[in-house]
Amino acid sequence: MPGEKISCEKMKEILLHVSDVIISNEGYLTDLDRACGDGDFGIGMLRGFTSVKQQIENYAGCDIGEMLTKAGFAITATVGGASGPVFGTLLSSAGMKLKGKREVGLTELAEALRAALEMVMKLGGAKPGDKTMVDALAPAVKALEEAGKAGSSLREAFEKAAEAARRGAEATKEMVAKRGKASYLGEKTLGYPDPGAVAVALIFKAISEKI
Amino acid sequence: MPKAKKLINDPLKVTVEEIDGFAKAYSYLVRKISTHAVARRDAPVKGKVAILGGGGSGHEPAFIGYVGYGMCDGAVYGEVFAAPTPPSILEAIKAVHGGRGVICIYGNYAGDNMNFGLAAQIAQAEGIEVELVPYWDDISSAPPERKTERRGIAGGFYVYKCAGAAAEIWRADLKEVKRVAEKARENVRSFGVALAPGTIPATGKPTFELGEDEIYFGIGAHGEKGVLLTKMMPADKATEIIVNEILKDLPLKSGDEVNLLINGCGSTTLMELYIVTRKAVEMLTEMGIEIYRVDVGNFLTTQEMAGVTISAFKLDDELKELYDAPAYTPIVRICPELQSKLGKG
Repeated sequence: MPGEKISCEKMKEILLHVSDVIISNEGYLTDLDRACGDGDFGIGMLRGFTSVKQQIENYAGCDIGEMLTKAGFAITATVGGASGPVFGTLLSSAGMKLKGKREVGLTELAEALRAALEMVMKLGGAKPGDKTMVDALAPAVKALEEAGKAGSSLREAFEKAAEAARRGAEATKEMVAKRGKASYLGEKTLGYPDPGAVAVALIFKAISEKI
Repeated sequence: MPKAKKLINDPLKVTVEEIDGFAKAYSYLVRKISTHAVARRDAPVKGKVAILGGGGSGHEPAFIGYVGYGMCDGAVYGEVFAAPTPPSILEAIKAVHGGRGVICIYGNYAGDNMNFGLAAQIAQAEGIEVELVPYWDDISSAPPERKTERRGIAGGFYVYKCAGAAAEIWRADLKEVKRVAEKARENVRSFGVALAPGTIPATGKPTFELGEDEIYFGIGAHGEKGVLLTKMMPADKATEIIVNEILKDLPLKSGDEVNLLINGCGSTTLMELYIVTRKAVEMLTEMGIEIYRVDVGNFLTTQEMAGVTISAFKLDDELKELYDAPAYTPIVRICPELQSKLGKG
Protein backbone atom coordinates (compact mmCIF):
# COMPACT_ATOMS: atom_id res chain seq x y z
CA MET A 1 0.00 0.00 0.00
CA PRO A 2 1.29 3.49 -0.79
CA GLY A 3 2.88 5.36 2.09
CA GLU A 4 4.12 2.13 3.73
CA LYS A 5 7.66 2.53 5.14
CA ILE A 6 10.28 0.38 6.74
CA SER A 7 12.39 1.55 9.64
CA CYS A 8 16.13 1.22 10.13
CA GLU A 9 15.48 -1.48 12.75
CA LYS A 10 13.41 -3.44 10.24
CA MET A 11 16.10 -3.02 7.58
CA LYS A 12 18.62 -4.38 10.05
CA GLU A 13 16.47 -7.45 10.63
CA ILE A 14 16.09 -7.97 6.85
CA LEU A 15 19.82 -7.70 6.19
CA LEU A 16 20.66 -10.13 8.98
CA HIS A 17 18.23 -12.63 7.50
CA VAL A 18 19.68 -12.10 3.99
CA SER A 19 23.16 -12.73 5.41
CA ASP A 20 22.07 -15.93 7.15
CA VAL A 21 20.44 -17.23 3.97
CA ILE A 22 23.56 -16.57 1.88
CA ILE A 23 25.86 -18.06 4.52
CA SER A 24 23.74 -21.22 4.76
CA ASN A 25 23.88 -21.61 0.97
CA GLU A 26 27.68 -21.59 0.81
CA GLY A 27 27.91 -25.24 -0.26
CA TYR A 28 25.25 -24.84 -2.95
CA LEU A 29 26.90 -21.73 -4.41
CA THR A 30 30.29 -23.44 -4.33
CA ASP A 31 28.95 -26.39 -6.30
CA LEU A 32 27.39 -24.10 -8.90
CA ASP A 33 30.66 -22.20 -9.25
CA ARG A 34 32.64 -25.39 -9.70
CA ALA A 35 30.45 -26.18 -12.71
CA CYS A 36 30.59 -22.67 -14.07
CA GLY A 37 33.66 -20.91 -12.66
CA ASP A 38 36.58 -21.72 -10.39
CA GLY A 39 34.74 -22.81 -7.24
CA ASP A 40 35.48 -19.97 -4.84
CA PHE A 41 32.23 -18.02 -5.09
CA GLY A 42 30.41 -19.70 -2.19
CA ILE A 43 33.29 -19.20 0.18
CA GLY A 44 33.66 -15.57 -0.92
CA MET A 45 29.98 -14.93 -0.23
CA LEU A 46 30.32 -16.68 3.14
CA ARG A 47 33.20 -14.38 4.02
CA GLY A 48 31.43 -11.27 2.70
CA PHE A 49 28.10 -11.80 4.39
CA THR A 50 29.74 -12.81 7.65
CA SER A 51 31.36 -9.37 7.66
CA VAL A 52 28.03 -7.77 6.67
CA LYS A 53 26.46 -9.39 9.75
CA GLN A 54 29.20 -7.97 11.95
CA GLN A 55 28.78 -4.50 10.46
CA ILE A 56 25.01 -4.56 10.88
CA GLU A 57 25.06 -5.98 14.39
CA ASN A 58 27.49 -3.28 15.48
CA TYR A 59 25.71 -0.46 13.69
CA ALA A 60 24.36 1.89 16.34
CA GLY A 61 23.01 4.69 14.13
CA CYS A 62 19.63 5.01 12.43
CA ASP A 63 20.60 6.03 8.88
CA ILE A 64 19.54 3.28 6.48
CA GLY A 65 21.77 4.63 3.71
CA GLU A 66 24.86 4.72 5.90
CA MET A 67 24.20 1.20 7.18
CA LEU A 68 23.88 -0.22 3.66
CA THR A 69 26.98 1.64 2.46
CA LYS A 70 29.02 0.25 5.34
CA ALA A 71 27.71 -3.24 4.66
CA GLY A 72 28.71 -2.89 0.98
CA PHE A 73 32.21 -1.67 1.82
CA ALA A 74 32.57 -4.61 4.19
CA ILE A 75 31.96 -7.01 1.29
CA THR A 76 34.33 -5.17 -1.06
CA ALA A 77 37.03 -5.16 1.61
CA THR A 78 36.79 -8.84 2.52
CA VAL A 79 35.87 -10.77 -0.61
CA GLY A 80 38.10 -9.66 -3.47
CA GLY A 81 37.81 -11.40 -6.81
CA ALA A 82 35.27 -9.82 -9.14
CA SER A 83 32.34 -10.84 -6.96
CA GLY A 84 33.47 -8.80 -3.93
CA PRO A 85 33.36 -5.40 -5.63
CA VAL A 86 30.23 -6.33 -7.61
CA PHE A 87 28.15 -7.46 -4.62
CA GLY A 88 29.72 -4.80 -2.42
CA THR A 89 28.84 -2.10 -4.95
CA LEU A 90 25.28 -3.39 -5.13
CA LEU A 91 24.80 -2.62 -1.43
CA SER A 92 26.98 0.48 -1.18
CA SER A 93 25.49 2.26 -4.22
CA ALA A 94 21.97 1.55 -2.96
CA GLY A 95 23.15 2.91 0.40
CA MET A 96 24.55 6.10 -1.10
CA LYS A 97 21.23 6.75 -2.79
CA LEU A 98 19.42 6.34 0.56
CA LYS A 99 21.85 8.49 2.54
CA GLY A 100 20.26 10.19 5.55
CA LYS A 101 17.00 8.20 5.40
CA ARG A 102 15.61 6.93 8.72
CA GLU A 103 12.82 5.10 6.91
CA VAL A 104 12.22 4.15 3.29
CA GLY A 105 9.26 3.25 1.08
CA LEU A 106 8.91 1.14 -2.04
CA THR A 107 9.58 3.94 -4.53
CA GLU A 108 12.81 4.93 -2.78
CA LEU A 109 13.98 1.32 -2.55
CA ALA A 110 13.26 0.75 -6.23
CA GLU A 111 15.17 3.92 -7.15
CA ALA A 112 18.11 2.92 -4.98
CA LEU A 113 18.27 -0.55 -6.50
CA ARG A 114 18.01 0.92 -10.01
CA ALA A 115 21.03 3.11 -9.23
CA ALA A 116 22.84 0.07 -7.80
CA LEU A 117 22.08 -2.00 -10.92
CA GLU A 118 23.46 0.74 -13.16
CA MET A 119 26.63 1.06 -11.07
CA VAL A 120 27.20 -2.71 -11.06
CA MET A 121 26.80 -2.84 -14.85
CA LYS A 122 29.23 0.05 -15.27
CA LEU A 123 31.79 -1.48 -12.94
CA GLY A 124 31.75 -5.00 -14.31
CA GLY A 125 30.90 -4.14 -17.91
CA ALA A 126 28.15 -6.78 -17.95
CA LYS A 127 24.98 -6.45 -19.99
CA PRO A 128 21.77 -8.48 -19.67
CA GLY A 129 22.34 -11.82 -21.41
CA ASP A 130 26.02 -12.12 -20.43
CA LYS A 131 25.16 -14.78 -17.81
CA THR A 132 25.91 -12.73 -14.72
CA MET A 133 24.12 -11.51 -11.61
CA VAL A 134 22.72 -8.67 -13.79
CA ASP A 135 20.36 -11.23 -15.37
CA ALA A 136 18.61 -11.69 -12.02
CA LEU A 137 19.02 -8.15 -10.71
CA ALA A 138 17.63 -6.30 -13.76
CA PRO A 139 14.24 -8.13 -13.84
CA ALA A 140 13.93 -7.85 -10.04
CA VAL A 141 14.42 -4.07 -10.16
CA LYS A 142 11.94 -3.83 -13.03
CA ALA A 143 9.37 -5.85 -11.04
CA LEU A 144 9.80 -3.51 -8.05
CA GLU A 145 9.28 -0.44 -10.21
CA GLU A 146 6.14 -1.92 -11.77
CA ALA A 147 4.78 -2.94 -8.39
CA GLY A 148 5.42 0.61 -7.18
CA LYS A 149 3.38 2.06 -10.05
CA ALA A 150 0.59 -0.43 -9.38
CA GLY A 151 0.43 0.62 -5.73
CA SER A 152 1.42 -2.79 -4.32
CA SER A 153 2.44 -3.36 -0.72
CA LEU A 154 6.13 -3.80 0.09
CA ARG A 155 5.64 -7.51 0.66
CA GLU A 156 3.79 -8.02 -2.66
CA ALA A 157 6.41 -5.97 -4.48
CA PHE A 158 9.35 -7.96 -3.09
CA GLU A 159 7.56 -11.26 -3.68
CA LYS A 160 7.23 -10.26 -7.33
CA ALA A 161 10.84 -9.12 -7.43
CA ALA A 162 11.98 -12.41 -5.87
CA GLU A 163 10.02 -14.38 -8.46
CA ALA A 164 11.47 -12.23 -11.28
CA ALA A 165 14.99 -12.77 -9.92
CA ARG A 166 14.41 -16.52 -9.63
CA ARG A 167 13.24 -16.70 -13.24
CA GLY A 168 16.13 -14.49 -14.30
CA ALA A 169 18.61 -16.80 -12.58
CA GLU A 170 16.92 -19.85 -14.09
CA ALA A 171 17.18 -18.29 -17.56
CA THR A 172 20.97 -18.00 -17.21
CA LYS A 173 21.07 -21.79 -17.74
CA GLU A 174 20.42 -21.11 -21.42
CA MET A 175 23.15 -18.47 -21.67
CA VAL A 176 26.83 -18.68 -22.51
CA ALA A 177 29.06 -16.84 -20.02
CA LYS A 178 30.69 -13.70 -21.41
CA ARG A 179 32.28 -12.13 -18.32
CA GLY A 180 34.67 -13.23 -15.59
CA LYS A 181 36.38 -16.58 -15.19
CA ALA A 182 33.24 -18.41 -16.31
CA SER A 183 33.66 -16.84 -19.75
CA TYR A 184 36.69 -19.06 -20.43
CA LEU A 185 34.36 -22.04 -20.27
CA GLY A 186 32.17 -20.57 -23.02
CA GLU A 187 29.60 -23.06 -24.27
CA LYS A 188 30.48 -25.44 -21.45
CA THR A 189 28.53 -23.15 -19.10
CA LEU A 190 25.28 -24.01 -20.95
CA GLY A 191 22.87 -25.90 -18.72
CA TYR A 192 24.23 -24.42 -15.47
CA PRO A 193 22.83 -21.28 -13.84
CA ASP A 194 25.19 -18.41 -13.05
CA PRO A 195 26.07 -18.56 -9.32
CA GLY A 196 25.96 -14.74 -9.01
CA ALA A 197 22.45 -14.63 -10.46
CA VAL A 198 21.38 -17.43 -8.10
CA ALA A 199 22.79 -15.46 -5.16
CA VAL A 200 20.78 -12.39 -6.22
CA ALA A 201 17.63 -14.56 -6.37
CA LEU A 202 18.38 -15.88 -2.86
CA ILE A 203 18.83 -12.31 -1.60
CA PHE A 204 15.48 -11.13 -2.99
CA LYS A 205 13.70 -14.23 -1.67
CA ALA A 206 15.18 -13.60 1.77
CA ILE A 207 14.04 -9.96 1.67
CA SER A 208 10.51 -10.97 0.69
CA GLU A 209 10.35 -13.38 3.64
CA LYS A 210 11.14 -10.67 6.19
CA ILE A 211 9.70 -7.46 4.79
CA MET B 1 34.36 -37.10 -2.36
CA PRO B 2 36.96 -36.93 0.47
CA LYS B 3 38.47 -33.53 1.19
CA ALA B 4 42.04 -33.06 0.00
CA LYS B 5 44.61 -33.36 2.79
CA LYS B 6 46.26 -30.04 3.49
CA LEU B 7 48.56 -29.03 6.29
CA ILE B 8 46.66 -25.93 7.37
CA ASN B 9 44.96 -24.58 10.50
CA ASP B 10 41.86 -22.71 9.43
CA PRO B 11 40.87 -22.85 5.74
CA LEU B 12 39.66 -19.26 5.96
CA LYS B 13 43.02 -18.03 7.26
CA VAL B 14 45.43 -19.70 4.83
CA THR B 15 46.35 -16.44 3.09
CA VAL B 16 47.05 -14.35 6.18
CA GLU B 17 48.98 -17.16 7.84
CA GLU B 18 51.19 -17.79 4.81
CA ILE B 19 51.95 -14.07 4.45
CA ASP B 20 52.98 -14.12 8.08
CA GLY B 21 55.26 -17.11 7.63
CA PHE B 22 56.74 -15.80 4.40
CA ALA B 23 57.59 -12.46 6.01
CA LYS B 24 59.21 -14.28 8.92
CA ALA B 25 61.28 -16.49 6.62
CA TYR B 26 62.56 -13.66 4.44
CA SER B 27 62.71 -10.86 7.00
CA TYR B 28 66.13 -9.90 5.60
CA LEU B 29 64.48 -9.16 2.22
CA VAL B 30 60.84 -8.29 2.76
CA ARG B 31 58.41 -7.00 5.35
CA LYS B 32 54.72 -7.44 5.84
CA ILE B 33 52.73 -4.30 5.04
CA SER B 34 49.26 -5.70 5.72
CA THR B 35 47.58 -9.06 6.32
CA HIS B 36 47.61 -9.63 2.54
CA ALA B 37 50.72 -7.85 1.26
CA VAL B 38 54.49 -7.71 1.51
CA ALA B 39 57.02 -5.14 0.30
CA ARG B 40 60.77 -5.20 -0.09
CA ARG B 41 62.40 -4.36 3.19
CA ASP B 42 63.62 -0.92 2.13
CA ALA B 43 60.33 0.18 0.49
CA PRO B 44 59.45 2.81 -0.47
CA VAL B 45 62.62 3.31 -2.51
CA LYS B 46 62.95 7.05 -3.08
CA GLY B 47 63.34 8.14 -6.68
CA LYS B 48 62.46 4.78 -8.17
CA VAL B 49 59.33 3.76 -10.02
CA ALA B 50 57.67 1.10 -7.85
CA ILE B 51 56.50 -2.23 -9.27
CA LEU B 52 53.48 -3.80 -7.56
CA GLY B 53 52.56 -7.36 -8.44
CA GLY B 54 49.59 -9.30 -7.25
CA GLY B 55 46.60 -11.53 -7.73
CA GLY B 56 44.89 -14.33 -5.89
CA SER B 57 46.88 -16.38 -3.39
CA GLY B 58 47.28 -20.09 -3.97
CA HIS B 59 49.78 -19.62 -6.84
CA GLU B 60 52.96 -19.58 -4.73
CA PRO B 61 55.71 -18.58 -5.19
CA ALA B 62 53.90 -16.02 -7.40
CA PHE B 63 53.69 -13.20 -6.56
CA ILE B 64 55.33 -12.73 -3.17
CA GLY B 65 58.43 -14.66 -4.30
CA TYR B 66 59.13 -11.93 -6.87
CA VAL B 67 59.52 -9.20 -4.24
CA GLY B 68 63.01 -7.89 -3.64
CA TYR B 69 65.84 -6.10 -5.39
CA GLY B 70 65.46 -5.66 -9.15
CA MET B 71 61.95 -7.06 -9.47
CA CYS B 72 58.79 -6.20 -7.50
CA ASP B 73 58.66 -3.60 -4.73
CA GLY B 74 55.58 -5.26 -3.33
CA ALA B 75 52.99 -7.96 -3.91
CA VAL B 76 49.38 -7.99 -2.80
CA TYR B 77 47.16 -11.04 -2.43
CA GLY B 78 43.47 -11.70 -2.46
CA GLU B 79 42.13 -14.92 -1.03
CA VAL B 80 42.92 -18.18 -2.83
CA PHE B 81 42.42 -17.64 -6.60
CA ALA B 82 40.53 -14.38 -6.01
CA ALA B 83 41.77 -10.91 -6.93
CA PRO B 84 42.98 -8.70 -4.07
CA THR B 85 40.43 -6.26 -2.68
CA PRO B 86 40.65 -2.58 -3.74
CA PRO B 87 41.48 -1.42 -0.18
CA SER B 88 44.38 -3.92 0.06
CA ILE B 89 45.74 -2.79 -3.31
CA LEU B 90 45.47 0.88 -2.38
CA GLU B 91 47.33 0.28 0.88
CA ALA B 92 50.09 -1.56 -1.02
CA ILE B 93 50.36 1.19 -3.65
CA LYS B 94 50.90 3.74 -0.88
CA ALA B 95 53.45 1.54 0.89
CA VAL B 96 55.69 1.10 -2.17
CA HIS B 97 55.33 4.55 -3.75
CA GLY B 98 58.75 6.20 -3.79
CA GLY B 99 57.71 9.43 -5.46
CA ARG B 100 57.98 8.47 -9.15
CA GLY B 101 54.77 6.52 -9.58
CA VAL B 102 53.64 2.93 -9.26
CA ILE B 103 53.11 0.37 -11.99
CA CYS B 104 50.74 -2.49 -11.18
CA ILE B 105 51.46 -5.70 -13.09
CA TYR B 106 48.98 -8.58 -12.84
CA GLY B 107 47.37 -11.38 -14.81
CA ASN B 108 44.49 -10.39 -17.08
CA TYR B 109 41.38 -11.47 -15.14
CA ALA B 110 38.07 -9.64 -14.65
CA GLY B 111 38.47 -9.30 -10.88
CA ASP B 112 42.09 -8.11 -11.04
CA ASN B 113 41.32 -5.60 -13.78
CA MET B 114 38.37 -4.26 -11.81
CA ASN B 115 40.08 -4.07 -8.43
CA PHE B 116 43.48 -2.74 -9.56
CA GLY B 117 41.51 -0.24 -11.69
CA LEU B 118 39.42 0.91 -8.72
CA ALA B 119 42.45 1.21 -6.44
CA ALA B 120 44.43 3.09 -9.13
CA GLN B 121 41.60 5.62 -9.50
CA ILE B 122 41.60 6.35 -5.80
CA ALA B 123 45.42 6.54 -5.65
CA GLN B 124 45.46 8.96 -8.59
CA ALA B 125 42.85 11.13 -6.89
CA GLU B 126 45.23 11.26 -3.92
CA GLY B 127 48.11 12.36 -6.15
CA ILE B 128 49.98 9.09 -6.85
CA GLU B 129 50.64 8.32 -10.51
CA VAL B 130 49.64 4.74 -11.28
CA GLU B 131 49.92 2.69 -14.48
CA LEU B 132 48.34 -0.71 -15.05
CA VAL B 133 49.86 -3.51 -17.12
CA PRO B 134 47.80 -6.72 -17.19
CA TYR B 135 49.66 -9.54 -18.94
CA TRP B 136 48.03 -12.10 -21.23
CA ASP B 137 50.46 -14.86 -22.17
CA ASP B 138 48.12 -17.90 -22.11
CA ILE B 139 47.55 -18.64 -25.80
CA SER B 140 44.94 -21.32 -25.08
CA SER B 141 42.43 -18.84 -23.68
CA ALA B 142 41.61 -16.78 -26.82
CA PRO B 143 42.79 -16.50 -30.45
CA PRO B 144 45.57 -13.98 -31.33
CA GLU B 145 43.12 -11.38 -32.68
CA ARG B 146 41.51 -11.27 -29.22
CA LYS B 147 44.77 -11.37 -27.24
CA THR B 148 43.53 -8.81 -24.70
CA GLU B 149 41.03 -11.44 -23.54
CA ARG B 150 43.77 -13.95 -22.81
CA ARG B 151 44.60 -14.99 -19.27
CA GLY B 152 47.87 -14.22 -17.59
CA ILE B 153 49.89 -17.20 -16.33
CA ALA B 154 53.52 -18.12 -15.59
CA GLY B 155 55.00 -16.07 -18.47
CA GLY B 156 54.23 -12.94 -16.46
CA PHE B 157 57.50 -13.72 -14.70
CA TYR B 158 59.42 -12.10 -17.57
CA VAL B 159 57.21 -9.01 -17.45
CA TYR B 160 58.03 -8.54 -13.75
CA LYS B 161 61.72 -9.24 -14.33
CA CYS B 162 62.18 -6.77 -17.20
CA ALA B 163 60.02 -4.00 -15.74
CA GLY B 164 61.74 -4.47 -12.39
CA ALA B 165 65.18 -4.14 -13.97
CA ALA B 166 64.21 -1.02 -15.93
CA ALA B 167 63.01 0.61 -12.72
CA GLU B 168 65.91 -0.58 -10.55
CA ILE B 169 68.98 -0.46 -12.79
CA TRP B 170 68.03 2.17 -15.35
CA ARG B 171 66.00 4.26 -12.88
CA ALA B 172 63.67 4.72 -15.85
CA ASP B 173 60.56 6.89 -15.47
CA LEU B 174 57.02 5.56 -15.23
CA LYS B 175 56.33 5.87 -18.96
CA GLU B 176 59.52 4.03 -19.87
CA VAL B 177 58.96 1.22 -17.33
CA LYS B 178 55.47 0.79 -18.73
CA ARG B 179 56.87 0.60 -22.26
CA VAL B 180 59.31 -2.11 -21.16
CA ALA B 181 56.60 -4.07 -19.32
CA GLU B 182 54.35 -3.99 -22.37
CA LYS B 183 57.19 -4.95 -24.66
CA ALA B 184 58.03 -7.95 -22.47
CA ARG B 185 54.35 -8.90 -22.42
CA GLU B 186 54.12 -8.84 -26.21
CA ASN B 187 57.15 -11.15 -26.49
CA VAL B 188 56.00 -13.96 -24.20
CA ARG B 189 53.61 -16.86 -24.91
CA SER B 190 52.61 -19.74 -22.65
CA PHE B 191 50.76 -23.01 -23.02
CA GLY B 192 50.36 -25.91 -20.64
CA VAL B 193 48.95 -29.29 -19.76
CA ALA B 194 47.36 -30.62 -16.58
CA LEU B 195 47.50 -34.20 -15.29
CA ALA B 196 45.45 -33.78 -12.12
CA PRO B 197 43.52 -30.92 -10.48
CA GLY B 198 44.39 -28.75 -7.49
CA THR B 199 41.93 -28.00 -4.70
CA ILE B 200 40.88 -24.78 -2.99
CA PRO B 201 41.66 -25.12 0.75
CA ALA B 202 38.37 -23.57 1.84
CA THR B 203 36.21 -26.07 -0.05
CA GLY B 204 38.59 -29.04 -0.26
CA LYS B 205 37.17 -29.75 -3.69
CA PRO B 206 39.12 -30.09 -6.95
CA THR B 207 38.75 -27.23 -9.45
CA PHE B 208 38.03 -29.73 -12.24
CA GLU B 209 37.77 -33.47 -12.77
CA LEU B 210 40.00 -35.63 -14.92
CA GLY B 211 40.02 -39.38 -15.57
CA GLU B 212 42.93 -41.57 -14.39
CA ASP B 213 44.24 -41.95 -17.94
CA GLU B 214 43.47 -38.44 -19.21
CA ILE B 215 45.44 -35.23 -19.59
CA TYR B 216 44.13 -31.82 -20.46
CA PHE B 217 45.96 -29.25 -22.62
CA GLY B 218 45.31 -25.55 -22.26
CA ILE B 219 43.84 -25.66 -18.78
CA GLY B 220 43.97 -22.36 -16.86
CA ALA B 221 45.74 -21.47 -13.65
CA HIS B 222 42.47 -21.76 -11.73
CA GLY B 223 41.38 -24.97 -13.41
CA GLU B 224 39.47 -23.19 -16.19
CA LYS B 225 38.57 -25.81 -18.74
CA GLY B 226 41.19 -26.49 -21.42
CA VAL B 227 41.21 -26.96 -25.18
CA LEU B 228 42.25 -30.58 -25.70
CA LEU B 229 41.25 -33.43 -23.42
CA THR B 230 43.09 -36.58 -24.42
CA LYS B 231 44.64 -39.86 -23.27
CA MET B 232 47.77 -39.90 -21.13
CA MET B 233 50.97 -39.77 -23.22
CA PRO B 234 54.75 -39.73 -22.75
CA ALA B 235 56.51 -36.47 -21.80
CA ASP B 236 58.14 -36.01 -25.21
CA LYS B 237 54.82 -36.22 -27.04
CA ALA B 238 53.11 -33.77 -24.62
CA THR B 239 56.07 -31.38 -24.90
CA GLU B 240 55.87 -31.55 -28.68
CA ILE B 241 52.19 -30.55 -28.60
CA ILE B 242 52.90 -27.64 -26.25
CA VAL B 243 55.91 -26.31 -28.15
CA ASN B 244 54.11 -26.58 -31.49
CA GLU B 245 51.13 -24.62 -30.14
CA ILE B 246 53.49 -21.89 -28.94
CA LEU B 247 55.28 -21.80 -32.31
CA LYS B 248 51.95 -21.29 -34.09
CA ASP B 249 51.38 -18.17 -32.02
CA LEU B 250 54.94 -16.86 -31.75
CA PRO B 251 56.59 -17.53 -35.08
CA LEU B 252 60.29 -18.10 -34.44
CA LYS B 253 62.90 -18.52 -37.12
CA SER B 254 66.42 -19.82 -37.22
CA GLY B 255 68.73 -17.39 -35.45
CA ASP B 256 66.07 -16.01 -33.08
CA GLU B 257 66.94 -16.07 -29.43
CA VAL B 258 64.55 -17.10 -26.63
CA ASN B 259 64.32 -17.86 -22.94
CA LEU B 260 62.19 -20.79 -21.85
CA LEU B 261 60.26 -20.99 -18.62
CA ILE B 262 59.38 -24.56 -17.70
CA ASN B 263 56.89 -24.06 -14.90
CA GLY B 264 55.54 -26.70 -12.54
CA CYS B 265 51.87 -26.29 -11.61
CA GLY B 266 52.24 -27.50 -8.02
CA SER B 267 52.76 -31.23 -7.58
CA THR B 268 54.80 -32.01 -10.67
CA THR B 269 58.33 -33.08 -9.77
CA LEU B 270 61.46 -31.31 -10.92
CA MET B 271 62.43 -34.64 -12.45
CA GLU B 272 59.46 -34.39 -14.79
CA LEU B 273 60.17 -30.73 -15.49
CA TYR B 274 63.76 -31.51 -16.53
CA ILE B 275 62.52 -34.27 -18.83
CA VAL B 276 60.14 -31.78 -20.45
CA THR B 277 62.97 -29.23 -20.63
CA ARG B 278 65.18 -31.72 -22.47
CA LYS B 279 62.66 -32.21 -25.25
CA ALA B 280 61.66 -28.54 -25.55
CA VAL B 281 65.29 -27.44 -25.85
CA GLU B 282 66.02 -30.18 -28.39
CA MET B 283 63.06 -29.18 -30.57
CA LEU B 284 63.94 -25.50 -30.69
CA THR B 285 67.66 -26.13 -31.13
CA GLU B 286 66.93 -28.35 -34.12
CA MET B 287 65.06 -25.44 -35.69
CA GLY B 288 68.14 -23.25 -35.27
CA ILE B 289 66.63 -21.20 -32.46
CA GLU B 290 69.11 -20.07 -29.83
CA ILE B 291 68.10 -20.88 -26.28
CA TYR B 292 69.58 -18.16 -24.09
CA ARG B 293 68.38 -19.20 -20.61
CA VAL B 294 65.97 -21.80 -19.28
CA ASP B 295 64.20 -21.15 -16.00
CA VAL B 296 62.89 -24.42 -14.54
CA GLY B 297 60.79 -24.78 -11.41
CA ASN B 298 57.62 -23.62 -9.72
CA PHE B 299 56.95 -20.02 -10.68
CA LEU B 300 53.14 -19.94 -10.76
CA THR B 301 51.27 -22.89 -9.30
CA THR B 302 47.64 -23.90 -8.85
CA GLN B 303 47.81 -25.48 -5.41
CA GLU B 304 48.63 -29.19 -5.89
CA MET B 305 47.63 -29.29 -9.55
CA ALA B 306 49.87 -31.64 -11.52
CA GLY B 307 51.01 -30.21 -14.80
CA VAL B 308 53.47 -28.04 -16.62
CA THR B 309 53.33 -24.81 -18.57
CA ILE B 310 55.99 -23.74 -21.02
CA SER B 311 56.60 -20.08 -21.79
CA ALA B 312 58.77 -18.83 -24.62
CA PHE B 313 60.18 -15.32 -24.28
CA LYS B 314 61.57 -13.84 -27.48
CA LEU B 315 64.62 -11.73 -26.78
CA ASP B 316 66.33 -8.76 -28.34
CA ASP B 317 69.35 -6.88 -26.96
CA GLU B 318 67.24 -4.72 -24.69
CA LEU B 319 65.19 -7.56 -23.17
CA LYS B 320 68.33 -9.63 -22.75
CA GLU B 321 70.04 -6.84 -20.86
CA LEU B 322 66.99 -6.46 -18.60
CA TYR B 323 66.71 -10.19 -17.99
CA ASP B 324 70.40 -10.36 -17.10
CA ALA B 325 70.27 -7.38 -14.75
CA PRO B 326 70.92 -8.23 -11.09
CA ALA B 327 67.96 -9.37 -9.01
CA TYR B 328 67.69 -10.70 -5.50
CA THR B 329 64.35 -12.01 -4.22
CA PRO B 330 63.33 -15.12 -2.29
CA ILE B 331 63.18 -17.13 -5.53
CA VAL B 332 65.01 -15.11 -8.17
CA ARG B 333 68.72 -14.63 -7.74
CA ILE B 334 70.54 -13.29 -10.75
CA CYS B 335 74.07 -12.12 -10.23
CA PRO B 336 76.00 -11.36 -13.44
CA GLU B 337 79.32 -10.95 -11.61
CA LEU B 338 79.22 -14.37 -9.99
CA GLN B 339 77.99 -15.89 -13.21
CA SER B 340 80.94 -14.49 -15.15
CA LYS B 341 83.31 -16.26 -12.74
CA LEU B 342 81.95 -19.55 -14.07
CA GLY B 343 82.85 -18.64 -17.62
CA LYS B 344 80.91 -17.82 -20.78
CA GLY B 345 77.62 -19.31 -21.81
